[in-house]
Amino acid sequence: MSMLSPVDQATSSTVACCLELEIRDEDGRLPQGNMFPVLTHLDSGRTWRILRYARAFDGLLFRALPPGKFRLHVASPRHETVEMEIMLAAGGRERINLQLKRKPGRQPLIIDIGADEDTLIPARHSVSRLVSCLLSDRAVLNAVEAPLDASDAIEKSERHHVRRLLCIGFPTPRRPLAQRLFWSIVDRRCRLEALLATVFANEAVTEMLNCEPAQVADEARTAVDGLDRLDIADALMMLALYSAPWKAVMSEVCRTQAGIRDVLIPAGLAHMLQPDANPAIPTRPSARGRWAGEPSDQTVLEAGPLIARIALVIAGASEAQPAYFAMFDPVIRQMREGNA
Amino acid sequence: MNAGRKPTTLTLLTSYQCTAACENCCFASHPGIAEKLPLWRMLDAIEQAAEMPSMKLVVFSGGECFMLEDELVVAVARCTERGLASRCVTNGYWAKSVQAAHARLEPLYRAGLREINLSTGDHHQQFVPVERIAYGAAAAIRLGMNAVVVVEREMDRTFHAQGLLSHPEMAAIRDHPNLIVFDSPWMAMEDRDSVRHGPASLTNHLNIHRRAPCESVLDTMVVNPRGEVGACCGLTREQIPEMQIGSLQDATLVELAEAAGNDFLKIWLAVEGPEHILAWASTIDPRIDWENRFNHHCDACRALYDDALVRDVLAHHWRERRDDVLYRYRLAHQKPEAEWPDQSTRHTPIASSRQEAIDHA
Repeated sequence: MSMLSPVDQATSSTVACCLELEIRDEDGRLPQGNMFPVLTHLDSGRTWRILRYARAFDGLLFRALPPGKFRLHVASPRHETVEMEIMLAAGGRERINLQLKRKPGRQPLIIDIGADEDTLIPARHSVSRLVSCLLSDRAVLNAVEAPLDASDAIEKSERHHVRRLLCIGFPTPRRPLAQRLFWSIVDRRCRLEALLATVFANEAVTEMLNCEPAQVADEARTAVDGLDRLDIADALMMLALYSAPWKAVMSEVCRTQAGIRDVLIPAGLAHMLQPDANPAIPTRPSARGRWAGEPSDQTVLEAGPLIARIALVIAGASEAQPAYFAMFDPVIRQMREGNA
Repeated sequence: MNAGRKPTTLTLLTSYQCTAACENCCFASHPGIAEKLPLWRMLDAIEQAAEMPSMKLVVFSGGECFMLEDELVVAVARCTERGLASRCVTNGYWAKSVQAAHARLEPLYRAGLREINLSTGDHHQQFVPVERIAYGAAAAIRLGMNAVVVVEREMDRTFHAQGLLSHPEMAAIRDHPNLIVFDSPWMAMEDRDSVRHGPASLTNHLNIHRRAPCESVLDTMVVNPRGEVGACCGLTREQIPEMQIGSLQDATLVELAEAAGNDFLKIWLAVEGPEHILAWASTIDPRIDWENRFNHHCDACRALYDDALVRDVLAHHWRERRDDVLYRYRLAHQKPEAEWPDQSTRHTPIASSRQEAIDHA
């Protein structure tokens, strides 16, 4: 049971009444701990105001209330929310009973996977076998110089895991030569992905991804023409495996390895990595996330293959998780048709 | 989990007291709140942060951290002494003129503060005139600090960044490299209908590929005025019990960070972001409604934790994504031993090294 006691402490002409609230739960107890009371003025439309002038819930004091209807919304630090309607007549002195009813509590959703390092390693025996395979210099060299599918050392059923291992850099080889080669692979993929991100930063390009399906299909058809098999494989692996954390990897890789000359990209996109090659074409976002110049039609045209890569990557991943990636329809479906 | 994202930022919510009482303020801040983080607790948290090799930056926020007066200077100086960069987030109420702003900022600059974030927009301007943002930014730039102005963005807003940049004081510094002005979505905290966003900015299946992972979870540790610690600095953190990871009264920052890093959901948020998790969950339970609802990461994250359907899917199906998520997490956050930079050198936009920070002080 709660008690609402109007207190006449008006201090301005707009004040109709001031209220001192004391709200207790059904057992007559004051709520413990800090609460977040929010009083919403319901009568003032878009200009309604939320009045927050107390945190301790016992002895809640609202000053300078305008006349009208209010809703009291309360949340504890754990945000068990409570809503109560308070009807106030201008200048009225009313006693209103309020009941504090909390929403039923819920169990925290914490999935503790423990601090054991082994939890990082999925329990797949094939992974550990492939790790030992990759630790040989020859295997790494093969991975660099030839498409994975051509590697006889890897069984067909395990190629997917090999790609994962190469892309995510797990585990890092400890022998110096193997390590250097290993990181060159990761580096190459990361740089390519950074290029994708640069393209995403171009509003014109991202809009293309949202345009009419027929238009997308045309773009994709044009774009795919310029791709070779290795580029497609790169793109497939990149977005399927680590589309999200490219920033972190890039920052660390680039910190120790300068230069972008050896990035494997279609020749038509080389200008995007050479800022001075054509000043008219923006090459990268500025430090503030804006393009140094206005994106031109030429930029969009040249970015076509990269857009196709993105689509191909997503389409590739869709084979693994069809339900999830089916959501990217119709854009992706059209891209795939364009690819075909 | 030993190999994973390590916190780089400590955010001290020094008080929820603020000179403003903005509608939909993420912390429900207003002038009537007295509770604040005591100075000794702030200094203790800074000391603990300084012992964590990954920590680079301490952010003072609130509430309005400038209401701390001299205590803020002391705390900033402690950060500098310990080689941590610092940043203050403020509504700029104190910048009544360029001279007044300079007088207020100069002690902080001398203490080592190198960046100030000013918040403005339709809601803030009900309490703080936009001129003060201009004065504050101008004074900061002239002192050699970085000034970042964050402008509220929502569908029916009347104030835009252009309005700020046209102010005479801002016009003089608008091209300065240390000034950044950008929009940030304003978010509904209590009443979803109270903030509207354009349909193009809402997440759906056509644009979800552009939604990034959460950069805050497990990267920023937040200490609120009650000494409670959060695992991110998200706008809805106070509304997500799972993001409250403990209290400084019971554990150290290191202990709390390590415990939080074992939560697969937080790792998943760091790898994919809440929108992608919601989208995936909806493929398992089509009743989950996620499209065209969320403009902001934190809004989606709140829904992820609050929606019983999503919670049920996550609790029963998370293993299906475990391997993929952990692999990518490892890729992003484990450092190769041979080529990793020296941990003892901290790189920040403000103070590039411990020695530099000390020199400035």
